[in-house]
Amino acid sequence: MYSKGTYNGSTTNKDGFFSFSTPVSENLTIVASCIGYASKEQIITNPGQPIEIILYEKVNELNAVSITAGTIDVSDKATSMVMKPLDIVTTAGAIADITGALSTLPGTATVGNDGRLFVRGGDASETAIFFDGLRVGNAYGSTTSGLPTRNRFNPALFKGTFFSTGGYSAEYGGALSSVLALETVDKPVRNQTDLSLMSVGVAAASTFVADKQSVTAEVAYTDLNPYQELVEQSFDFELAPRTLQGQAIYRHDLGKAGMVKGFLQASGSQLVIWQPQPGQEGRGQRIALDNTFAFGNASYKKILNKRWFTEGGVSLSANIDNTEIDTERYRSDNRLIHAKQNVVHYFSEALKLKTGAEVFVRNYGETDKVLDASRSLENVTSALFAEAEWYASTALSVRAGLRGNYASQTDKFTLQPRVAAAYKPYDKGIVSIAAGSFSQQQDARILLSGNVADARAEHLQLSFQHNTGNRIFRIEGYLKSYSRLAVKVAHGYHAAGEGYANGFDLFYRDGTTFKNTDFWVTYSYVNSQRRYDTFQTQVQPSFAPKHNLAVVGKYWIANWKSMPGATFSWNSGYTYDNPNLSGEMESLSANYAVLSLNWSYLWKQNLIIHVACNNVLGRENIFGYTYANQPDDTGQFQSLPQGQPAARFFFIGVLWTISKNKEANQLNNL
Amino acid sequence: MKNQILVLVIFFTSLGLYAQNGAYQKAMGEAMGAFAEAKTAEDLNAAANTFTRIAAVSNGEYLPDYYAALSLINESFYLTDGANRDRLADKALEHIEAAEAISPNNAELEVLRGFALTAKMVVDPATRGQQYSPAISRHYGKAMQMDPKNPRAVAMMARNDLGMAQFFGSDPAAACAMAQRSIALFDTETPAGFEPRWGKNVAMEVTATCKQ
Repeated sequence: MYSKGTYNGSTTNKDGFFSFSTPVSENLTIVASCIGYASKEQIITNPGQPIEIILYEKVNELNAVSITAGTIDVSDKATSMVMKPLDIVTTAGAIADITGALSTLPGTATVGNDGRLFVRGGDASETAIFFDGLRVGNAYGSTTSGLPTRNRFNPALFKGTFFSTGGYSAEYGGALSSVLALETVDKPVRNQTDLSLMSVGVAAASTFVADKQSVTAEVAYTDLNPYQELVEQSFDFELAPRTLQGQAIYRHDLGKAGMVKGFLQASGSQLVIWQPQPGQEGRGQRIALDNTFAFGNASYKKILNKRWFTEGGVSLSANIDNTEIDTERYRSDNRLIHAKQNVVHYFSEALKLKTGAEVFVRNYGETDKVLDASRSLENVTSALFAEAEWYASTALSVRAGLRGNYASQTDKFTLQPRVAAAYKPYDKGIVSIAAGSFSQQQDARILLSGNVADARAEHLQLSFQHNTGNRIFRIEGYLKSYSRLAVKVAHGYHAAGEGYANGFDLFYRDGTTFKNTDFWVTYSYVNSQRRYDTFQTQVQPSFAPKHNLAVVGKYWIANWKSMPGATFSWNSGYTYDNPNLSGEMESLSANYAVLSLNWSYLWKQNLIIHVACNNVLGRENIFGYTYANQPDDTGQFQSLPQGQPAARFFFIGVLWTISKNKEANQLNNL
Repeated sequence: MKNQILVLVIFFTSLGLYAQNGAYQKAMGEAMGAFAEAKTAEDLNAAANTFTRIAAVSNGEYLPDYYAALSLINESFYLTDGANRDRLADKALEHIEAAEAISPNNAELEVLRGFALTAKMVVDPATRGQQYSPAISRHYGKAMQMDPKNPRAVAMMARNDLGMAQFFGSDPAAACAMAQRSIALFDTETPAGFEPRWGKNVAMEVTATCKQ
C-alpha cells in the first residue's frame, strides 16, 4: 500500500490491515498492489477516513488451474509432478525409450511384444505423435514377428512431453484415443560433443551454439548382432536388427520474438528372422525387413505483439519397407505431409482464443514385387479449429473448442466439439473434466479396398488430483465409445463396428516419504469391447488387458554417485482367439509380469555408466498363440506361443560428454 | 551481511550525511534497516515492498530495484511451494531488468541475476540443474570479468563451484581458493552509500566447508 508519487507506504499485515502517514495533497492517490493481483488505485477525497480496497487475482496462463483430466504434462514446470523429462531416461525397463517410460503411467497398457503406446483400450494407431506440433508418420521403427519396436526419437531431443490420455484439445485431431506431443529443446546449453559406447551400438553427437543459432548433428549405429553372439535368443535371427541413423537440428532464436526450428532424421535398418510355423517342422518362414525412413520438420513460433502470437510449420515423413517372406517380396511406401498454422489472440491475460488450420496429405502404396502389381492411394484431410481458454479465476479454468474435419476421399465434413474444465476446491486439489468427439482416418490398408468413413470416438472423463509438491495422488474415471470401426465384409470393409472402453486409473507418486527415494504406483482398469476387423461380435481386443499395474522406483546413493532403479510391470493377460474353441477372443493368456532393474553411475563429472537388465527374473511371458491356417489331420489347429525374443535383455553403456564446461554430462541423454 | 548493513546505517545516521536527495536517503536508510533486521518471509516481503515503492519514485537509482530483487530472492528460500518460489524469483528478475535499464553493464546486477536463477534452479535441481547451471556460471563469470575486485561475484562463484564439486565428487580446491580470495576482497572493499556489501557470510560458509 502506498501513496502514489511518494515514499510513504507500508505492507499490510496478514489480515490486510495497513496504516501509514503521508502529507495531504491535491490528488492524493493510494495504490494497492500485490504479486498475483491486479493493482488498484483510489483517489482520496476524505483524508483521515478509513479506506477499504478490494484486489482481484490476476489470472493468467502461468497461475491458472491446469486442466488435468486426461493430461500428463512432462516438463520442468513446478506443477508438473506426474513425470519429469529426466524420468524418461531413468525409468528401468524402458532403456531411454519414450514409449517404454510412458507405459508406466496411468491410462496406458504395456503390450510387451509390440512396444508401441496403447492408451485406454485403444490400439497403437489411436495415439498420434507430434514433433513440435507437427504429425510424425511412422514414429516407431518397423518391425515384425512379435519383436517389440521403439520410438525413433531420442528423449534427449525434448525439453518436455505433453501426453494426453483422452479428451484432448481441438488443436489436435486424427487420433481416437490420445496425443503425444513432443517439444524439442529451445536452446542447447553449450558447445559439446557426446559420445556413447553401448552394448547395442555407438553414437556420436555434436552441438554448436552461437549467439542466436545452434546446430546439433548426430550419427548413431545400433547393431544387435554382436550382443546376440553372447546372449542366447529364443527367436531365430538370421540378421539381428541393425540401424544406421543420422539427424540434425537447427535452431534460430529470434530473441524475445520467437524461434525457428528445423529437424531432419534419416535412417536405414535391416533385420532377417526365421518364424516357425505352427504344425510344421523346421525353421519356418524367412522374413527379411529393410526399412528406410526420413522425417523432416520446420516450425516457428513468433510473438507478434502483446496480444497476438503465431506458430506454424510443416513436416514430411517417408517410410519405405521392403519385406521378403520366403520367396514373396513386397514394398510398402507411406508418406505424410502435414502443414499447419495457428494464431493465438489474447483478449486479456485471462481469455485467449486459439485458431488454426491444417492439412494432411497422405500417400500410401503397396507393391508385390514378384507379381509386379501395385496399388496406391492418396488422400487429403484438412481441418480448422477454434478454441477458447478462459481463466475465470485462479480456481477455475474452462476450455471450449470446435474442430471441423474434412476428408477429401469420403467427401465428409465432421464437426467435433471439445470441452474441458478444471476447478480447485482447495489449495492442493484439482477436479477436472474433459469431453469431446474425435475421429481418425481408417488404416491405409483398409482404405486401399475402397472408401471407408473415418472411425469415431466420444470421450468423457472426470479426474481428481491432490498434489502437495512432493506427493501426488490422481484418480480418473472415463467412458469412451467407439463407432464406425472398420469391419470386414465380402468385398472390403464397412465402417460399422462399435465398441466401448470404460475404466479408471489410479496414480500415486512420492518423492519424500523415504529418504532419497522417488517412486510411483499406477493401476489402470479397462473394460473394453469392440467389434472390428473380421470379428462378428464385440470382443475384448488383444491390446487391452483388464488390469494393469506398474511400480517404478529410483534411489539416489550420494556416496556412490549412483542411482539404481527398478520397475515392475504387470497386467492380467491378453485375449487371443483359439480356433479350436467356439467363440471369438475367448482365451486369455497368463498374466504378464516383468521386473527390470537399472543402475546409473556418475563415474566422473562428464562420464556416465549405465547398466540395465529387463526381465531379471527371466519370466517367460506368453502374449498369445499363433494358429495354423488349416486344421491338421485330427481336425485341430496347431499353435505356437508368441513369446519374448529372449529370457532377459542386458544393456551396458558408457556416455561421455566433451565440452569446455567440465561439469557437462549426458544426464539427460541416457 | 546483517552486521555490515547495520554498521552502514549507524555510520550513516551518526555522521548525518545527507546527499542531494535527502528524502531518498532517509527512505533508503529505513528500508535498509528493515532489510537487515528481516527474519521471516513476511519481513522480507515487507522489505521488498518498501524498496519497490522507493523504486517507483526514484528515477535514475538502480539500488531500490536491486534490493527489492535481493529481498524477493531471499524470501523465496523461506517458502516451500515451488510455484510460489518461482513467482518470487520471476518478480526479482523483473526488478533486475528494471535496474539494468537504469544502470547497464553493472557487475552487481550480473551477480544478482545469477542468484535469481539459482533461486529458480533449487526449486527442482534434478530437472532444472542442467538447464540453469550454465547460465548461472556464465553470469557470475561475466561479473568477475567486469569487476575482478567484486567480492560477491567471487564468493557466489565459489559457492556454486563448491556445490558442483560436492555433487560430482571432484576436487573442491579451486572453489576453496576462490572463497579465500573473496574474503580478502570483502575486507578491502569500500562501497559508497547504499552500494551492496553483503555476501561475506557466503564466503565464510564455503571456507568452513572446505576446512572439513
